[in-house]
Amino acid sequence: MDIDAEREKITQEIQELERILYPGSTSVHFEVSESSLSSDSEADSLPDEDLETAGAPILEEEGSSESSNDEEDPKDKALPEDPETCLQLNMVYQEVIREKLAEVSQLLAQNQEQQEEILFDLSGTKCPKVKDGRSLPSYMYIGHFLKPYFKDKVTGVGPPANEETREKATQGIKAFEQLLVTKWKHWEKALLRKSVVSDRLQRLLQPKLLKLEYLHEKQSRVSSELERQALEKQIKEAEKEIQDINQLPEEALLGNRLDSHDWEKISNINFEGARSAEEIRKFWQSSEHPSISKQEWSTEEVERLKAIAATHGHLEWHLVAEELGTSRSAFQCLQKFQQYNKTLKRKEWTEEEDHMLTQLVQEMRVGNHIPYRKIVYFMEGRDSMQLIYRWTKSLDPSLKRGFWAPEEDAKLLQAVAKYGAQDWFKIREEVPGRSDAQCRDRYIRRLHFSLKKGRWNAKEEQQLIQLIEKYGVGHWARIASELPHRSGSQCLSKWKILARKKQHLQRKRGQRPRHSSQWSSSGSSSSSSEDYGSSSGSDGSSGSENSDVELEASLEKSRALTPQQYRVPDIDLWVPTRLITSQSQREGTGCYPQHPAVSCCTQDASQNHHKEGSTTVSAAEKNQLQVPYETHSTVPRGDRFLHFSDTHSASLKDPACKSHTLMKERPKQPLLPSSRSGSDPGNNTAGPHLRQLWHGTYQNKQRRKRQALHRRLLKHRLLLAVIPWVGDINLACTQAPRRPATVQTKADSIRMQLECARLASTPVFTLLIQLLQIDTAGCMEVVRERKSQPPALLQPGTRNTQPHLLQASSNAKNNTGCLPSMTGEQTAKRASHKGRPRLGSCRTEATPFQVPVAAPRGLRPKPKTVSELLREKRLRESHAKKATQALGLNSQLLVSSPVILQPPLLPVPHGSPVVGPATSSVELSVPVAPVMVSSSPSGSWPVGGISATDKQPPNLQTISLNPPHKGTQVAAPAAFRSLALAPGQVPTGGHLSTLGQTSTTSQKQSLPKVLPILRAAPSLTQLSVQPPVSGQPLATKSSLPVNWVLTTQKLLSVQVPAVVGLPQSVMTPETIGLQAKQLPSPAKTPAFLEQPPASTDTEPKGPQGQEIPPTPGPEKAALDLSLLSQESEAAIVTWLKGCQGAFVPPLGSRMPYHPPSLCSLRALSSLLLQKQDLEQKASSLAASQAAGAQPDPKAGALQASLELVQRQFRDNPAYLLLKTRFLAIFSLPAFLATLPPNSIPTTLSPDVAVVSESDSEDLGDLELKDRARQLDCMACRVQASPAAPDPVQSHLVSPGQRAPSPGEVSAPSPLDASDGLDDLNVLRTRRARHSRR
Amino acid sequence: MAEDLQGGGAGGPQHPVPSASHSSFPEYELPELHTRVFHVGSFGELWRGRLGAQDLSLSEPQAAEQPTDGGASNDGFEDAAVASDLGCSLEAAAELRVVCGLDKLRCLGEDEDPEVIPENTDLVTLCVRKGLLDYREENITIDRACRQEIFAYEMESHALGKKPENPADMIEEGECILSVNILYPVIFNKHKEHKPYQTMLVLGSQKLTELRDSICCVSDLQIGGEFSNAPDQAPEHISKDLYKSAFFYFEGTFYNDRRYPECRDLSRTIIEWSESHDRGYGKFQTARMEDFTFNDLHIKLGFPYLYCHQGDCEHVVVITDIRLVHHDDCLDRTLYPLLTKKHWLWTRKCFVCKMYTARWVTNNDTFAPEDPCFFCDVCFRMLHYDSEGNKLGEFLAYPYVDPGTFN
Repeated sequence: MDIDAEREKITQEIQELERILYPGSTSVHFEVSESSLSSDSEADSLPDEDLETAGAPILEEEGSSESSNDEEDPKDKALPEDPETCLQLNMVYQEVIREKLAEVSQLLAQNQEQQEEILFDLSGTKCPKVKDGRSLPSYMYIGHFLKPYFKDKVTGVGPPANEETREKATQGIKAFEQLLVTKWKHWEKALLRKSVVSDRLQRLLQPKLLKLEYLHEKQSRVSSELERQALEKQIKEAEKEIQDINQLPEEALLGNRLDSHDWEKISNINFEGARSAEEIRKFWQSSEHPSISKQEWSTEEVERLKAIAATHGHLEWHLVAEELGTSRSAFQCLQKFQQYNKTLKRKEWTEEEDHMLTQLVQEMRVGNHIPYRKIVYFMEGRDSMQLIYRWTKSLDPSLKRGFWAPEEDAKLLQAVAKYGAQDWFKIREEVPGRSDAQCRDRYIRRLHFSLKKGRWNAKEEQQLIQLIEKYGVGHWARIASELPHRSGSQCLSKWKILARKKQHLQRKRGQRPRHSSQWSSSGSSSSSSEDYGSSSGSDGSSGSENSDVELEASLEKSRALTPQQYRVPDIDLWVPTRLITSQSQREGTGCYPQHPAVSCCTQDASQNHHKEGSTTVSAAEKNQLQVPYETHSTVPRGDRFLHFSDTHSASLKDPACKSHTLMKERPKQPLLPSSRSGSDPGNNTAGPHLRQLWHGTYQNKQRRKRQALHRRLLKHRLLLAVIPWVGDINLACTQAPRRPATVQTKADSIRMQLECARLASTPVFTLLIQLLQIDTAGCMEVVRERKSQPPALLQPGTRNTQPHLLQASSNAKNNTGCLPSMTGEQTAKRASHKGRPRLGSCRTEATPFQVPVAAPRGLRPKPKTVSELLREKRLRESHAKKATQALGLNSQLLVSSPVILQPPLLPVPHGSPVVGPATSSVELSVPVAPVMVSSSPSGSWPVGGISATDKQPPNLQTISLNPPHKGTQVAAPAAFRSLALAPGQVPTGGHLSTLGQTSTTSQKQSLPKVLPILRAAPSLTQLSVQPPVSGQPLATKSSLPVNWVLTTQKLLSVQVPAVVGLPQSVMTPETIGLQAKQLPSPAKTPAFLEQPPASTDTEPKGPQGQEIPPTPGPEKAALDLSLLSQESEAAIVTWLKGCQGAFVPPLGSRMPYHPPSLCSLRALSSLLLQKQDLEQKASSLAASQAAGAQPDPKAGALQASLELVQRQFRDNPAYLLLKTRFLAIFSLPAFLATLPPNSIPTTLSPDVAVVSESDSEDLGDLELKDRARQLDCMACRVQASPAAPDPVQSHLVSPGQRAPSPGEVSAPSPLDASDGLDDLNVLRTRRARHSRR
Repeated sequence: MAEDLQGGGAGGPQHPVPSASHSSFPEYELPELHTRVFHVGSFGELWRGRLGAQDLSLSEPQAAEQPTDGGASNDGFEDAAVASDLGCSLEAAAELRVVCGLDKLRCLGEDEDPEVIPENTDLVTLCVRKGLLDYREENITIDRACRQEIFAYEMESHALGKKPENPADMIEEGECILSVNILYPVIFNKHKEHKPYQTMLVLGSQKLTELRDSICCVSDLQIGGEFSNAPDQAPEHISKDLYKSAFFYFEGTFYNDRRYPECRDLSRTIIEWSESHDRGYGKFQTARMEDFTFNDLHIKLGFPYLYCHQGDCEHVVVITDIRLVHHDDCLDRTLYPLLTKKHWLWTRKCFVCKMYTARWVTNNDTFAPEDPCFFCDVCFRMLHYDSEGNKLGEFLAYPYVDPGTFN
């Protein structure tokens, strides 16, 4: 509309108004309202001013018209119609109209705004909205784009699921939303409880209320008074019920755990949909219901929980919870249990783990950030804290160890100045490469400003001595705290110096003559080793930070021990060794677990192996070399020494081609510690002067140090051992000047040897020959020859005199003397016998030491064992043929062996030379055992064994039982390795055993078999340690591949002595008397030994071979069951579990029966043959215990001993276990033995069973202690190796020599003293076995 | 895509060009939110056209050149350049240098420690920083960088200035680097508020598939199936191997990954859905992911786009930044797409032992207090199976892949 036109119109209107006004207006009011309306509608085009201007003129007229119009009607009559009032009215109306106008303009503005908004909406996003930035459209927030990204603009619903989504859903792959867990908060729990109550209440009340309502309704309709009354009564009742319900306690309303509630309602109404019905139900039923106790666990409850859980095998927690009876849920029980479950976390770090962690860190780290939480996912059994500590404190390659450089010290001091001596983690950052602990140590111990360095003045010394007296030696921290300006370590070293001085003074007064300086080092080594023995508890873990001081100290310490040879540590001290060793074994050193010393030495050996690429054998060899020295030096009487040196020279002259190399080596060894290592110098000077004073204190405190020292020494020795092979370039100075010898290394010489060896002389050739001609006659001959020789007698007399068992040490020395001699003889014999140049040479190495000493004794023990082995083996082989399984196995193994052997063949010149020493070591070890037995079955023998075989004698005192193993073990591996390395050498192993006799076949076979196994196992070094086999066991085992496998892989314990007759007695103090008695008649025992088959004294031998085994194999490699038997794996497993096995009532566990093919038949027969002897011994034992002096006539004594056993061991689990084992092993053979050869069925003769039992008992009590230990070991091991049925199998190795013929078995007269229980057991088990078949 | 270079103002967003729907440079459509659509490649071209060789060069600048030697002559030279550039007199240029020179940017005296924040500063950033430091001071228990901080720092800096071992892997001069923020799908409740994301640097010349392959998401690693009856049954297939389809969505186009025969067109359902009604989206297009580089894209900086894989695992993708490569950047192109920030997700622990990372999740579990309930392997087996390995109670068990470990 045009403005002009409008103006026109308005003016017209005004005019009209004016016109009208005069007569008195009525239409004005209408006009105004109309105009306002119109302005509203066309506001946009009509400017305010327009309106204003247009309106303003109107106003006045309007006002007047108004006044005259509306209100005047009534008032008009009252008011005077004079101009005065009109004017007044006009003013009033003008006022009103002004207000109206303001109102209108406001509305207009609003309208405009709205229109704008609408326009903006219509134009959409394109229109920039500059006006206000704060109100952004909702879709501009990122949340708007979160799933689903595409949404319908109206409903906000996304597109349908695509195929892949659907497919995944059917697959059961959960979306993240399904995995969301919201923690239940307190108020939610309360709410849940409340809503359950109310739901319950509602549910109860609903019907009542309905009823009430109904009754009321009915009442209102009812007319008759009677009915009404009845209804009223009902109503009252209903009301009362409601009342009752309302007053129900909350507990009642909560109902049972599984009561159904309206979960949907609770979810939707009470929880407003925040949680799903299902979730709420679940939470209520399995967690929140009051019937589930949520109280703190009391300690006794936890204890009970543990016990109950154990009975359930830590499974089936609902049952556990039930049994616990404290209204816990299964989940709670498990949770609590895990909280206290120590096995949930791994403890010691194995090498693999370390390796893995290092690798993971390297892969996953981002700069300095190491995501432990992620890594932990891949490290089973670790939590991230462990990782952090392991990495930052131990593995981090940037960590430095060892001496602090001056710069580092400076940095440290600076950092301390900056942060103070507290925030070590901050200080650490300033001292790169050092951990916080290191920093702290360094600072507190060395750099602290208040520390005084330099000499101690007299006053301080005085104070120190006083304080030491006050607190005792060893409490250095406390002492230091009272001694100003001196640290604990300073006190320690000062004290050492003081003590040394004293020693020195005493020494000067003339003690035993010292050896020449050259030998002093050997002396030290021996002493150190000895103190290893005393350090029963030295743990396998490294005590890496040995300072010179410590080393010196330990050396001194060991010195101190030497004069003390007759004082042996308390038995308690060395008993725990096994446990400890088992620990150390677990630590992953992978070494021979039995003795710490051994383990560490092997460790070193292995390291050496890795690092230098030379064979580990060298270590073992080294050890052996060292042995003689040590033993001699320790001997109190000096004469030995000379002797020794003689032997030395003799050995040099030995025809063996190798001898020169040896010579070279030998001088070096002794020298080594003193000349090469800075640590040792202390020895020479201070060594001799030490007093027993030290002894006590050191014993407990310095184990670690000792070990560290020992390690060092070992390393030196290893180095030395390696040198001859590598050729010593750097160490020329160490070579003794007087040996012109050769520039050649051993390796060279061996190579030469190999080259010049011709077909006829090759081991292979001999092997073939021997394979083809097995002559038993020869064997027998040898045996006879040996028999005829005078029994070896070690100075049993000395033993008797001594009050304590363990003082055997002196004996030991004697023994050692004799042992070597035998071997020497043997070797000589062999050399001459067979004329094999190589072998001979090998042996010569070993012999030099021993030969001289050997003089007094015959060599018989050794050869005998070998022959036994051979014979055994042959027998067993024949036997095996009958048992198809075994045969199959054998053949398999044989076949496979070549294949496996190939890879190992790599042997470089380096490798092959090793063989020599290795073989020799085997020989050595072999002799040891027999000697010991023969000489003194009691305590002394172990010592001897040790000393003879290896330098581990440290263990002498601690481990009387084990030593023989050690020796053998160390040796055996060497042999194996050598075999493995050089195919040519394989036969040499065979020779070894056969030396005495012509027939070697079985052994050769066995060796190849063994080899593959060894090879197969992951780490050579470990294995090498493992095969603990002395000559005997070797042979026996080799014939039975099964055993072997077990031993090598993990089941060393396998060979638990089936029958340890004599050795056991050593252990029990009571038996001493017995031994004394026995010893006087040495002739007898040797006889046994020599002629196992004839005299049937197999036991003594067996034990030695088999005692070795108790050492649990450290490896956890999975047992390959297929090697055990050809039956299905499941069958084997069940067999191993022994569910149907032998069972002795008080014990819960069972043991599987052993198939007779495992040679228990022979063992049984030999047992039976030995029975009388055993009985005699047992009875004498009993007698000595009871009366002390004279052995009664047999029968009575036997009875007594049986009673004794019954009395003392009835409840002894070890004994029971032993018994079970015995049964497990022998019941089947016994059963078989009762069958006539022609397989005519017979009824079982109770005799046999009886016999076996009685035997078991006899033996049992003798062995008890030993067994108990082994059991301990087993227990330890069981965890490590899931399938460790091993101990049982030990018997396989038992040295039965002949195939048992039924006749023999039955021959022994039944024992009347058998107890019925055992009888029953045997029968039962037999039957069980039978049925299984 | 029109190569309409706008006279002299083509260099930056300060000259709005409202008419162009597709421009060759980023321009803010909604201030502080996102720019208008532009073409990445041509934007890079513009830059390269404008900048001199020494600006683009990736070799280390000779440090000695600038500060000291021949200060006066250098200044004179620069002044002349400025004068000719601005069309003013030399004196004016010299004055400009004095007034606007680098020296003027220094706000601290010689001996003032920039680490110390003055008490009365009115600089907002300083105030913010001060506030944060104060907060940290108050709340920290151990005074050292926490692991998250180290992590963030290391992530950011681990590849800085890295040079390729093989010179062939050197990034070309003038290459564009795009910062891409990829949000995680909502994984935990608490992330309703704060959205976790990872940041990647990607080169303009890289293909979309390269980015796709470098995005690590747990849902790729999930394992399907219910294993309560046979927990030992090793589930061998992770989702990544089974479901290989994925797409990026940028500006109305779905870029589908069709590299493998088993890839499906995940966008089809969306397109069909969108076309069936008017859903508020325009016409969609599809393309093949492997055919496109980032230079080929038209994008808005700051706008939320989508990466979708595993059927319905949706990641919002925001390209926050685009710039030329600098010699301080990681110059090894093989390291791109380069992850520079990653949200730290917590691992879920076993509900029983609270020690080990959860590996199982159960539903409808008789024994579990919650639903779903998480277990580590040891506890799971201890609670749910007897010695024979038989299942106890009722439950459904699914393997759980922990996002904290694998995301």
